[in-house]
Amino acid sequence: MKRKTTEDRLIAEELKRQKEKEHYKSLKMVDKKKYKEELKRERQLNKEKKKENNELRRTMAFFSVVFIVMIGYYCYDLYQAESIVNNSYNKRLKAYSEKIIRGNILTGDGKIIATTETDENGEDVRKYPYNEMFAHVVGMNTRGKTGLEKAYDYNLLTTNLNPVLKALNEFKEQKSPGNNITTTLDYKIQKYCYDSLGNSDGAVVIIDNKTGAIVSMVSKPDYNPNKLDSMWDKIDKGKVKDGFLLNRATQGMYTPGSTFKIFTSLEYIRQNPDYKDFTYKCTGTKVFANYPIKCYDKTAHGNEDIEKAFANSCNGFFATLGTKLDITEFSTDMTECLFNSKLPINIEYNKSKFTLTKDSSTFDITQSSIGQGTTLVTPLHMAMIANAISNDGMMMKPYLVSKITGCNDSLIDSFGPEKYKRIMTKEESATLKELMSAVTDYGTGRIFKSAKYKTGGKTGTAQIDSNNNVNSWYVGYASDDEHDYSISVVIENVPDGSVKAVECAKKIFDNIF
Amino acid sequence: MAELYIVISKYIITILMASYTYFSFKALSKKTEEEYDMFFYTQTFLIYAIYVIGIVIVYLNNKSDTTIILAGAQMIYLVVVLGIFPVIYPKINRMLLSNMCMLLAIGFIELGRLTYTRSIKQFIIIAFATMLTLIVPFLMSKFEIWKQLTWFYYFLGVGMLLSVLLLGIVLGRKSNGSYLMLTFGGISFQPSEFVKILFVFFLAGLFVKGTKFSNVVAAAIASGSFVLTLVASKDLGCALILFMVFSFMLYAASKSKIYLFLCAGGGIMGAYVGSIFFTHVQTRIQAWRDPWPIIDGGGYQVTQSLFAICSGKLTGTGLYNGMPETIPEAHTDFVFSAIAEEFGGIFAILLILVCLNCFLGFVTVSTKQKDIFNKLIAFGLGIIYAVQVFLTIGGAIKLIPSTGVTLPLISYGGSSALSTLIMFAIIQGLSIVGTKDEQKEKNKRTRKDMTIEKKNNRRQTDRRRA
Ligand SMILES: [Zn+2]
Repeated sequence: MKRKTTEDRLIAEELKRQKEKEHYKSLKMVDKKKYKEELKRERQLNKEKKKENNELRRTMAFFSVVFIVMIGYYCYDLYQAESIVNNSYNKRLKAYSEKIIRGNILTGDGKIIATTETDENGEDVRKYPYNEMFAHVVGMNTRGKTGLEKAYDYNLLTTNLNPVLKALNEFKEQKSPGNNITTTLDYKIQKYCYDSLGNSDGAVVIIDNKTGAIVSMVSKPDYNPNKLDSMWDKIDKGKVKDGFLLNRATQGMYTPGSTFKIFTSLEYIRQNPDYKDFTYKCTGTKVFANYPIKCYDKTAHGNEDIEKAFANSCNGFFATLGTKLDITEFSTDMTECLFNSKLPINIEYNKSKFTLTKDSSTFDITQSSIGQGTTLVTPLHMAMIANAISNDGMMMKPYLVSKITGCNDSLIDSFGPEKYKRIMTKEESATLKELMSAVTDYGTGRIFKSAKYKTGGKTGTAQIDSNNNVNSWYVGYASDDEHDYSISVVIENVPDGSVKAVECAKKIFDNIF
Repeated sequence: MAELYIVISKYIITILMASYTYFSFKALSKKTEEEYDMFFYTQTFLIYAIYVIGIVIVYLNNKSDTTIILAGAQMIYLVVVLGIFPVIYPKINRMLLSNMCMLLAIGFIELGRLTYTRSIKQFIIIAFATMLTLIVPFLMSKFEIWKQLTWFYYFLGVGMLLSVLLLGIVLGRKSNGSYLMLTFGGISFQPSEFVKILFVFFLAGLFVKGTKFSNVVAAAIASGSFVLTLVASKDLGCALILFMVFSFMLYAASKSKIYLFLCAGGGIMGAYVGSIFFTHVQTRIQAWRDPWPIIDGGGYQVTQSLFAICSGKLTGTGLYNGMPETIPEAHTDFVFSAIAEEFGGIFAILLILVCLNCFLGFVTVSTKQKDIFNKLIAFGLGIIYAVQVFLTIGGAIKLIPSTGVTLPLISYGGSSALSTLIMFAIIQGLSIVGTKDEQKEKNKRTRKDMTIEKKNNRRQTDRRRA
C-alpha cells in the first residue's frame, strides 16, 4: 500500500516534469526567459519559506528530544520499581495483604523459616517454625517490619499468578498465594552458630567466600517471633533486656579491639614496601603523649617483626606503626574498606565509623591503631573484610536471598555471586593471610593449631568499661576442598582474659568441616 | 465478574491507545486527503471505544444512575465535537481535534474514577467552554484587530495577576500557600491560566514589529514584570512557562541563537537565585534530589507519586485496583501518576507521545502561517502546551522538581480546562487561516499558469493565422 503510493507519487512527479518540459519547449524565446525567471523566483521563495521555519523545526526537534528523555526516565523509574515500591510509607502493601497470602521464607536447603497459616477465625497468622533461631535475620511482620520481612515485603505480597486467574480468585473472594523467598541461609550452619553462641549476647556472621552468600547470621539476645504480643507486654512492664530487637550482626556498633590491627597492618604494608624490616622491642608498656599503652597482662613480647607482633597482638608495636602512618591516606583507604560508607545489603544496618583525620592527636592515632578509641564496626562489615582477604583482595557482594519463586515453584528472579569491590591488591591480601595464619599457628588463636582445615584469623578484646569487661572478637576464615567460609564473631561483656569468641568460632568451624 | 472485565479491559485499552498514537503520528505528515479522512475516522472510533470501555468500569464500581447520565452526556459531547466542528469549519485541523477529544476522554474516565462529584462539575465547565470556543476560530480568521492590541494584552494580564496577588494579601486567602484564585459568587477563577494566552498575544504583537534591540529590551522588561508578579504569588510553574515562552518566541522571531543562549543563562541564574531566597523552592529541590529521607515532609508527594507509577509497572493494575487516592493532588498536579498506576506504563508512555503529537501539531500549524503575527501565536501556544506537559509529567516521575502545574485537558480545574480549550480553538482558527492562505497561493499560481498558457495559445494561433 505504502510502496504503491510512493510509486504513484513518483510517477506523478515524472509526468509533471515532462509536462513542464513540453510547456517550456513550446514557449517563445522571450517567454522562455520570463518563465525561467519566474521559476527561479518561485524556488527562491520556497527556500526562504523553508528557512523562515528553521527555528520552528529546531524547536520541534528540541521538545521531541525532551519528551523522549521523559519517556526514558519513566522507564528508569520502572526499572527500579521494586526497590521503590517496597517502602513502609507505601499504603498499597497493606492493601495487598487483603488479597494475597504472604509467601514463605525458606533456607537454602529448603526448610521453611517463615510461613502464613490461617487460624480458626480465618485470619492469617505469620508463623516461624524455628522460633528464635532465625529471629533477627528473618525479622518480623507485625509490630513494625524488620529484616527480610521488611526488605522483601513487596515480593512476599505479590503473586505471579496470571492476572485472569488472580481476578477470578478475587471474584471468589479467595486469596492468591504470594511469592516465596529462598534465602542463602544454611539451616545446619545457622544451628551451629546459634548453639555455639549459647547464652551469651553477641553476634555471628558467616559468609561463603566464593559467592558472598551469607550462610548464617545470628544475634543475641533474641526473641521468639511467634510470641511477639506477649513480648510487647513484657517490654511495657520493663521485664525484658533492652535491645533484643536489634540485629547485632548488622546494626551492632562495636569497638573492634585488636581485630582492627588488620587495617593498621594493611595500611602500613601499603605505605611501607619494606615493612618486613621494621622491628620493635616490646617491654609490655609504651608511653605515647603521656599515656601508656600496655600489652595484655603487661606481657613483654620482646623483639618482634610485624608477623610476630600480629600473632601476639602486641599493642605497643601497632601503636608505634600508627604513629608512622600518613593519616590522610589511612583515612581514604579506610573509606575504601567501607568505613563511613554504605554496605551493599538491603536489610537494616549501621555504617562502621572511622574518625581519624590528619589533625588527630597522637593519643587518638595510637588508640585507633590498636582498635580502641572512636572506631566502631559491625560484625557483618568485619566478615566482609575477612571475605575480601581470603578472596585475594576482592570483596564479594554479600547477599541473603538466592531466588524468588512463584506458584508451582516457577522462578521469578534469582541472585548469584557478584564481585563488589577490590579493597586491596592480591599481594596485600597474601601478606595479610600470612599474618592471620601466624595467629592461628602460634599466636592468640593457636587453639586452631591442630585444625584439619586451612584457617587464619585475628582475635580481639575491646575494652568497653573500666570494670575489666570486654567484648571478645574473632574475625577469620577457613577452607577445605569443599567449603570456604569467612566468619566474624563478637561476644559481649566477657570478663577480661577469656578468649570466648575464638573458641566459639572454632566450635562452629569444627562442626562445619 | 467486574474484576475479570477490568483486567481484560486494561489490555484492550492499551492496544487501542497504541493504535491511536500510531495514527496520530501518521497524520502528522499529511498524506492524501483520503488517507487523512481514514485516519480521522479510525481515531474517532478509537476515542469512542476507549471512553466506553473505561466508563463502564466506573459504572460497575459505583453503580450509580447519575453515572449513566453523565456517561451519556459525555458520549454525546464527544460525538458532537468530533461530528459538528468539522462540519462548521471544514478546514479544521482534524488531527488536533481528535487529540483534544482523546485527552478529554481520558480525563473524563480518570476524574470519574478519582472524584466522581468533581467529574460532573468539570464536565459541565468543559461543555460550556467548548460551546464558547466554537466562535474562536471564526474570530481569529475573520478579524485582524488582534495585532493592534499589544499593550492592552499587557495591562490586562499584569492587572489580573496583580489584583489576585493584592486581593490575596489583603484578604489573606491562600490556596496551597500561594495566591492564585479569584472568587466571585462561588465561582473561583485562576487568572494565571488566561494570562499565559494574553502573554503570547502580547509578545507576538511586539515581535511582529521586528526584533530590534530596543524592542527586545521592552519585551524583556515587560516579560520580567509578568514573571516577577507570578513569583511573588508563588506560582512558580506558570512563571517558568512564561519564561520559556519568552525565550522560544524571541528565538523564533529574531532567528538568533544568541538570544536563546542568553535566556538559558538567565534562566539558570534565576533558578539559582530563587533557590537561595525562597524556602519553598529549596524544599522542592531537596524533595527532587532525594525525597526518601524527607518522606514525611517535603518528599511525601513525589514519593507517593513514584509508588503509584511503580506499582502500575508496564500494564497497570486496572481501574480501581490501585490506590491513586493516596497521592496528594491526584486529580490535579499528579493525575499523570494516577493514570500510570491503573492504566499502566505503556499507556502512560503513549499518553506522553500523544501530548508530544499535540505540540508538533501546534507548531506545524505555525509553519503554515504566512502572517508573522499568526505564526508567532501558534508557536507560542505550542510552547505553553509543551512546557506545561513537561513540567507536570516531569515532576510526577521525579525527572525535575515538581512545580504544581496541571496536565492540560486531563487534570481537574475549570480555569485550566477553559484556557486550554481556548488555546486549541485559537490554533484551529489559525489552522483555517493557514489552509486558506495555502489555497489562495495555489489558486493564484494556477491562475498565473493558466494566463501564461492562454497567452501562449493565443500567440500560437496568431502565428498560425499569420
Ligand atoms: Zn607487646
